[in-house]
Amino acid sequence: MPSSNKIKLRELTQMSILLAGAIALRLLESSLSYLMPLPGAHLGLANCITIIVLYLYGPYKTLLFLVARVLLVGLLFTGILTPGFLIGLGGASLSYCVMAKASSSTLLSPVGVGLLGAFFHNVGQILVAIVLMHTTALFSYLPVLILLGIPTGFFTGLLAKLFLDRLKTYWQNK
Amino acid sequence: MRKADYLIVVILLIIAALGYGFLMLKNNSSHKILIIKHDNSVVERIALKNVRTETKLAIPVQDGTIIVRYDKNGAWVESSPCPDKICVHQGKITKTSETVACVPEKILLTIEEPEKEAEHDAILK
Repeated sequence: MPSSNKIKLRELTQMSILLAGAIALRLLESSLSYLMPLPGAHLGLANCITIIVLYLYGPYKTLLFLVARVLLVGLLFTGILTPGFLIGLGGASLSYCVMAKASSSTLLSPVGVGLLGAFFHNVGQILVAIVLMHTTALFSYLPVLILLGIPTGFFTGLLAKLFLDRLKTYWQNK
Repeated sequence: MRKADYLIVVILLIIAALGYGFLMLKNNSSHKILIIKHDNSVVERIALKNVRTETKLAIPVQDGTIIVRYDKNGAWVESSPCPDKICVHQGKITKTSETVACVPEKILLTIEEPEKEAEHDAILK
């Protein structure tokens, strides 16, 4: 499906709607974070949108999408260049690199991409936190984060897969 | 769902299990030292087995004061001026290599084992 690197007006509009959705989901899940078993943990619903964008528009346009999302989330919630912003940036960039590669593979479905995305998001966040705090003691968070990332990554990947499948049948019937 | 998806679940479970196993191996010490760092320099270094009563510690940080409490079992952040309060919600740490971090205020609580040499009565050379 992803064609050229030039963004058509139609794609720009669609991606803008998805961007608004991703930011709204980010707001929703930070207000639901008290339900999570671990402080600061998220369901990763915004990542679900990233997977959808990745499959619909390809890696290059997803990169633009993510830059816009990270900057807007920074402006709206965490503030630019604060520790929280940098940690989110680390997670987003590492998980993007892995998911961009994984989404072009025919071996994986969006569920696998979601799992990998959740895992590398956690690793990226911890790596940035380790650099910020000058301590490797934060590695002790990783096992529990990885464990939590399995159901959340599975769930977001599955949501993306269901969405993409429906979209495909809709296009075929049109 | 494809085969490789299940493979990823299995690999992630193994990584998490190895991580837990590694942490467990380090957790069998009874002598624990609480180390409190601010901006990467050690503020307090407390041998927890010598602690009798619960103690309150106020550390001045960028946005105000962070309140840390500790007793003979472990330590926790009671209050913090940071925006997200993740450090407060983390609760009490009691085992070696456990950590409470407040990244915005650059505060780090860790429980560590004393240096290996200190456990021997004498070292013959």
